[in-house]
Amino acid sequence: MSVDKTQLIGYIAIIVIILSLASIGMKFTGFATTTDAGRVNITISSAAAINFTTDFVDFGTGSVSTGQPNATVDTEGTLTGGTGWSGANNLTLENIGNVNVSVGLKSSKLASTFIGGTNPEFKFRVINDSEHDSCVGGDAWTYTEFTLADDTVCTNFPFADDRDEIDIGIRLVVPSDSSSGTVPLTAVITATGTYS
Amino acid sequence: MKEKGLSKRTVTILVILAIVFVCLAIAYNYFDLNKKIPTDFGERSGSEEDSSGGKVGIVIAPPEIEDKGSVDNVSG
Repeated sequence: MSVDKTQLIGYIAIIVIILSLASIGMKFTGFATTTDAGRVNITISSAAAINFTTDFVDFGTGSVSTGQPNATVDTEGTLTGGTGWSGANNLTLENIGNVNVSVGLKSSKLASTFIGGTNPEFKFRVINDSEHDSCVGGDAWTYTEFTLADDTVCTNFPFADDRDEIDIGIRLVVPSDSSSGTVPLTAVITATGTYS
Repeated sequence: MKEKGLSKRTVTILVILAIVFVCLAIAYNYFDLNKKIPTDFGERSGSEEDSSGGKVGIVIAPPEIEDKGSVDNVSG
């Protein structure tokens, strides 16, 4: 029996084609034609996230004027009864999460341990100036004394870009008999955002 | 008389197709194009609470005391 070379090459070519197709994953199935839909799964959970974008208030160095019982300085430009201190910037708190939160504020120190002296004050207030209606609810529109426990300053602090920032003003009343020296006195402010 | 089996023209086409498919198969495997693309990105874990810290600093210098005294120049 003689073998036709042309025929042999043809059949080998067919086998090579089938093997090539198989190697790239093509399979013979019972389906003539079919349509199928692809699907991409992703689940985004609600996440509370807040950040002090301006996180340091530095009043600098100053003193209570002679003869004054105390001096008042705040981040809104007030300085009475004292000299040297500058009106520092407000703290700025931003909601960087994807859910509205309530915000609590507290300090690591009370006025008595932070500043000392007779009747010191260490207060804050929420200012909605930069983005109106950022903070809804709460009770800190006027200067309120810091405590060691969370004080809810906003019951609803939105995450929407145009309403996700609040300024927090800081006011200190420094008595003439307060702690004095060259070492900076510092207190840490903690903001906590919670959603439920 | 009609030729039995594959004609020369068909064989030529088959050979060309075989070469093309072999090249495709080599490229496909070399560039790992059969890799499955993950389409399930899973779940981003959410947190119900987050905190951020700021700091307030002040230096309280001793009050400046002005005391205007006078020096008497007593000459004997």
